Amino acid sequence: MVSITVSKKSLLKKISARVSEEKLYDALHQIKCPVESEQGDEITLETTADRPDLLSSQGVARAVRGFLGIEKGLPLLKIEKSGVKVFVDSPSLKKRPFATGAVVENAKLDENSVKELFQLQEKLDLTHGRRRKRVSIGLYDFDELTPPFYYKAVHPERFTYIPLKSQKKMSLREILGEHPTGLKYAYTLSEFERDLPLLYDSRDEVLALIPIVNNAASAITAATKRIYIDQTGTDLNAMDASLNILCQDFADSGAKIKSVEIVYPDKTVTTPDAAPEEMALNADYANKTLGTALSKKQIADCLQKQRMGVQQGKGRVLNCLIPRYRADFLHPIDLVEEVALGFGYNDFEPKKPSVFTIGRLSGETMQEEDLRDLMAGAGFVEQWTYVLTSAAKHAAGEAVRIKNPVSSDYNAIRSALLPSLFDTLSKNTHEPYPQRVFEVGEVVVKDAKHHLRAVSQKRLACVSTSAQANLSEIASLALRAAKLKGESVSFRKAERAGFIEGRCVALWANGKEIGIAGELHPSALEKMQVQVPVIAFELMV
Amino acid sequence: MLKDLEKSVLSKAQEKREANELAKLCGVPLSSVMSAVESLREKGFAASEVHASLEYALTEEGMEMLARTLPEQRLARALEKTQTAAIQELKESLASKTLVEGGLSPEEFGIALQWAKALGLVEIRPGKLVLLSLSPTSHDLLLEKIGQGTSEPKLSEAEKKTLSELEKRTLAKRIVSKKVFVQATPSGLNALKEERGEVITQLTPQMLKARAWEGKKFVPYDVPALFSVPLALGKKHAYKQLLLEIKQKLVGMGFVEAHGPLVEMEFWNMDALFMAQDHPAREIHDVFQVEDPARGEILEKKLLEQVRIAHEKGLAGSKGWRYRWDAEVSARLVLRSHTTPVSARSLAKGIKPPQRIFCVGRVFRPDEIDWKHFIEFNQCEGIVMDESMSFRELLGYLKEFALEVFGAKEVRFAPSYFPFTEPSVELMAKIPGKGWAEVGGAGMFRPEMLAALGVDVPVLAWGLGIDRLAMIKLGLKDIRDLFTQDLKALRA
Repeated sequence: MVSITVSKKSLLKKISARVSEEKLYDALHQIKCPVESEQGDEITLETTADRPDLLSSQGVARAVRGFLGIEKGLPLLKIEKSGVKVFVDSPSLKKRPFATGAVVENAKLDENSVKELFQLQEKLDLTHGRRRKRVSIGLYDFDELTPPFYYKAVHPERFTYIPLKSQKKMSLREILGEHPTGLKYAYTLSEFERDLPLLYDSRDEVLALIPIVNNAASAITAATKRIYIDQTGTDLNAMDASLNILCQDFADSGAKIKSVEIVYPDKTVTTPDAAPEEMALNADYANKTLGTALSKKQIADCLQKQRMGVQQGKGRVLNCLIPRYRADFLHPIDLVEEVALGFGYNDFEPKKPSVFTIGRLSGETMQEEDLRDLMAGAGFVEQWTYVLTSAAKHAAGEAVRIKNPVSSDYNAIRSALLPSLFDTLSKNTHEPYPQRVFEVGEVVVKDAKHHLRAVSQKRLACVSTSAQANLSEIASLALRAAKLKGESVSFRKAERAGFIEGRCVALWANGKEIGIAGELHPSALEKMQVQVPVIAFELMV
Repeated sequence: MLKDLEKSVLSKAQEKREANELAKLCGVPLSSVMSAVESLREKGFAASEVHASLEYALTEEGMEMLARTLPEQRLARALEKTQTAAIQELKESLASKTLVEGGLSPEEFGIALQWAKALGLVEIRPGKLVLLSLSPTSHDLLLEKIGQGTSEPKLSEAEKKTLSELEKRTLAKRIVSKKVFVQATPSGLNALKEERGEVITQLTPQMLKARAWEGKKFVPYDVPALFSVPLALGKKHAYKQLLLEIKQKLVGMGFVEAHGPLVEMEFWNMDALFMAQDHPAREIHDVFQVEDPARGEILEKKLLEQVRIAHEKGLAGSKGWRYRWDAEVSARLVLRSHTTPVSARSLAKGIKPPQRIFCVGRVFRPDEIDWKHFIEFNQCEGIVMDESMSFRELLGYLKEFALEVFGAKEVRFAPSYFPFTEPSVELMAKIPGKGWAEVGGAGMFRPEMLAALGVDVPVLAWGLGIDRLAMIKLGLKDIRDLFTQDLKALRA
């Protein structure tokens, strides 16, 4: 989920003054950007990750207008030529090979729209652009620039400029090492060895150190009339979508969009390319998937409400035109969802489940229930705790460790249940004794022979604590629990850390050790700060 | 029947006494008294309470200094006759003296000088010392006071400051001591009387046989106490019972239960679900990566190839994600971030429709930890596989769950996004007394995912977060209370 904050008044104005607030909120809910919170005129919308075109009020307004039937079908996007050229020095830019761009004229900016524009740029960079690694966007006051532009990796000391959020001229190296934005995004250039990617104009004026920070000299303000949009990145499809999002937003607000020629050593490409993508949808496929009996006309209407263009094809086929600012169409199923959205999720009549199958609890759950019955019947209280634990609570190297824990209390997965039960005893010394507690739960143990190298296992463990605690009290219980599996169980004397020598038994079945039972050593009790004898067992189940 | 020591403890504890005192009175070690007390407590014959208190004691060095006088005081006394002396000479002369003569070793001399000055015993002038006072200093006084072993000295503010100085000098230490106070209960007192043959508390077969009850008085029941005996019953975990109830409802609807591993490969957690390796949802999903061991092994080579094709070029009429898919990334181990890999593993087994499968299990996601979020939670997942499945039927299932499982009165649907379903939907339910709540996400598995797994019929899928539901049903205010280790709560 991505959040954006927009002015409700300006959103309503972009949609149409006649829409009531209630109708607006309901529509927003139905097009994947529900209102999360509001404060005065500011509303915060939560959009889903597949819809970068809903990261601005202009984009949201476009979708709402379609959904409410105010304006359906493909939005207009007329592109003229600007004659501006961008020369890409491909040999020096192997790690960030692509550039695209567009010129916006007659941009009608004000304080609020500039704020929203920067928000859109920031959110696109973050999500769609993968923190600027895949795509990054630059916006400049075109009247401060002198085309053509050059995109090239240059020596880090060759150019200096005053970056945004700074007062002094800095070299590219200084920006990466000192400037806050430079420090934040330096990782995007980790693959550049010495020379750094730069966009500059024919007078050697820097536009930006790519994809880090712009030159303050060509910064956008509410007074800017003409804008240059630059994009660089590693994925042309993604760059295509975000450039179209920006251009469509400007076009919707009444600005003029002009194309730019990107000159590579071996070819010249004109951007933006706003020609809609074509995809065929079979009406029968849509109806079968949705469980509906919609006519081709009804389906076309739903798609047009989602701002798709539709041309009636042959037979049951609809030829759909997908606006270029939508990047999420891989398969006709994606068009089917658009049909469902246009129809309205809450206008479908839910269908009663129809298939017959016989339900069944798993053998694992049935066995777990037998064990729980046994343990509760024997007077034990059940706990159910976290699988995540601190590696320090287990023997060194025993527990599977997490690479990115959020807390050292939870940096591993437990490899046994007893530590959680001992923990419970330590935390409850003020509670009346005897204390008898059990847990049936999952643990993960390392196993080099298994294809996952770490195997999840279900276990049963219990502790019994009282002045008279004695292994004879739970030995028969452990045996009964082990036999619930239907195996013949045998005992062997065992020695385990934490247990008193000669007072610990291992349980065996089918030639394997399946559990351990014993009386805790006083030194172990001291560590737990428990002053009452404890007996315990743990079994694989 | 009471053991001798238990009788002895009980009779001495008719009024509240400290355990050490009882040990002295009974003439046995403290540990024996404690185990007798524990046994008496279990029978309800004695009550005990623990008082923690801060005490002070001298260290070994402190005790030695108490016997030998503190070095600064010895230094002052050496000046008693002359009132003043050259520092170097004094140091040498004291070094040559024995302990009994009030000597100071050269190491002690430095310490003595520092403290004598600090405590106002002497004054240093160029090269020599001048005696100012011979009275006992705050250090002397407190050392003596603690040395006398007053059990809980009430220290003044000034003395507390002195104490921390003595601690720095490693002469004294603070000790947290726990004291157990024991007192016989009314039924304990009766038991004592019964032991002496005065009254009958418990009628026994022996008494009946021997008519020993004749002429004796029966101790009446202490009625309020009768009903205050805590139950030491076994008890099943409330949340687990709720989960069992949910499972049984799903079984009643015709679903079969499945399980899967907690530590899973990215292959099953993401790639097999058609989540591109650099897809934002993979970041949104933010998973816990496993450090040791770091990688598993994908055994299903054919499946691996199909997944690769689905990602790189697309399957089932899809364009695919069009990038170079990396099998190494796919083999990385993670803690499963949802239960969908369990469904994917089921589907990959070549099962034939119709199928309805569910899974309830732990999943893990890095998150802030607060009253409504934890990094480990339970999810309830289900799939329906059949040629006839449709989006409308998915909505039908969701409605049934909301009404049957969540006890909702009304449902609403909102569009949503999951990388492995299309169309995707979110279920909102109106729960009595709670209002509208998001209860889960659902959708139809994407054709690319199904084709890679070898499935050629539609599959509906849903995942419900059940911890929040459990909080509502069990009346808890903090999600972490579902997994509490508080015995009082577990017993209640």
